[in-house]
Amino acid sequence: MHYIITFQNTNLAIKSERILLGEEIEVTVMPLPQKIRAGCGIALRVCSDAISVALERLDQSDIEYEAYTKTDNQFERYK
Amino acid sequence: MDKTQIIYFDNSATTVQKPPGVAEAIVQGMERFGNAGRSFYSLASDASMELYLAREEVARLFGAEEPLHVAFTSSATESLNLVIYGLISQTDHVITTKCEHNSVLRPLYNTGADLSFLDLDHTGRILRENLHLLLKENTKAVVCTHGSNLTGNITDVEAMKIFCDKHGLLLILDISQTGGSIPVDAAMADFICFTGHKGMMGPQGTGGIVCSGSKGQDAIKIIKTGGSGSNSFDRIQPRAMPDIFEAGTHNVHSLSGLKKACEYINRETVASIHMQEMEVTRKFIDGLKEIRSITFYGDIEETFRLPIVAINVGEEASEDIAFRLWDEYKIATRSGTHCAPLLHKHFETQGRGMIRFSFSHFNTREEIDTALEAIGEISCTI
Repeated sequence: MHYIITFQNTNLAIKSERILLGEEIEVTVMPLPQKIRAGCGIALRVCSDAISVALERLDQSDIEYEAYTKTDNQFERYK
Repeated sequence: MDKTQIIYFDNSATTVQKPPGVAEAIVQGMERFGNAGRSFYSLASDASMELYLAREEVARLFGAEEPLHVAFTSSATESLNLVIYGLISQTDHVITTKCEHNSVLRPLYNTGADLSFLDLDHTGRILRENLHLLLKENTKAVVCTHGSNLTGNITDVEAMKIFCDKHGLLLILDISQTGGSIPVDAAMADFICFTGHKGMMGPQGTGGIVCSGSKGQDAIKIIKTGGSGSNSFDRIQPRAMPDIFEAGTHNVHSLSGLKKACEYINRETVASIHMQEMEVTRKFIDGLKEIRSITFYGDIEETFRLPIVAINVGEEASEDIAFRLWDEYKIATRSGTHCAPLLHKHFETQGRGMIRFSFSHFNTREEIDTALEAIGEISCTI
């Protein structure tokens, strides 16, 4: 299972990718799901094993985000 | 022409010799980058990451804690235009100085704002103790250079900042000549406008704005709008650094080169680079003192200054001497007025200009010896 993390803008998405890669957390850049927010943009995908550590690290960096799970093509807010 | 035969002393215009790897980074970027911040596949996300790493490296150079407080533009001129037009209106009063480059002066004139100019002493140093005399009820900002592109004098920015903070004014700093040459700290001013191709030794077409505080940022009128890669259905540009100064596709290839140049400076350290630059500058100044008919402009006895020396020889026009240096010795300098009209008026050199020698980290003592010999020979023939 994967989690999707979205941000206010692409700059914060890339900054977050940089932070998580620095912590050796596996992260994948993906298109921003249009059901979450329409428009251009990117989001990050993190596997379930790493999601807690990833979000904790983003919290420590004062980065605002929204985390979702995806089931049957529906997105559910995780945090 | 064989570039190795040229002695290049016009580094205040642009540095030609760049640190190792800068040119390669640009070429490699052109071969591997998609559009930064626009998509998810590796070509695009690699470009996005490279852009972020470039911000990190510039932030490190200027002591900014947050890389996203660095916005990229095409030049210091564009940066100054964005900040000045974004903050200053015709109902405002602005204090600036007679040292300024046209990249500061012309945008300021164009705003229609009421302008006051800090005067200079006989060496071209800014009389910043007169700041309080120029203060008005509607003074909004002080806009000044961190270091003169002509005299090499360095501005006492610390005193300027204290004054601005005391009176609630914005401080907008032009670091075109000082970035990469002397220490610059993001906290020195509210808006720091830099260029990438001079002392920072990156490619032309790069520059930016460092804005670490919220002062002025919330009220700034956003001049450039367009694609930002996010919030696409909003009619307005996202109101956060760096988006308030950025729109459209970034010049990531060149910014990759700038990143490489900043890595070099951060590794070598600005203090070490400045020491090296001042060694050749001091040797040049001391050598010139032994040659007859040299007129210096600037506080040449000051040790904390930029590696810039402006002179005239006898009563000759500056362009005649600069052309002879090039034609007979292949020494590249800059004559004329250097886009600093008020400074030339101050020194009464509007009619003849000055010859400016500006040195870089890569100039050598041997090149200085050659130049001194050349100037000595020329001075004997006039």
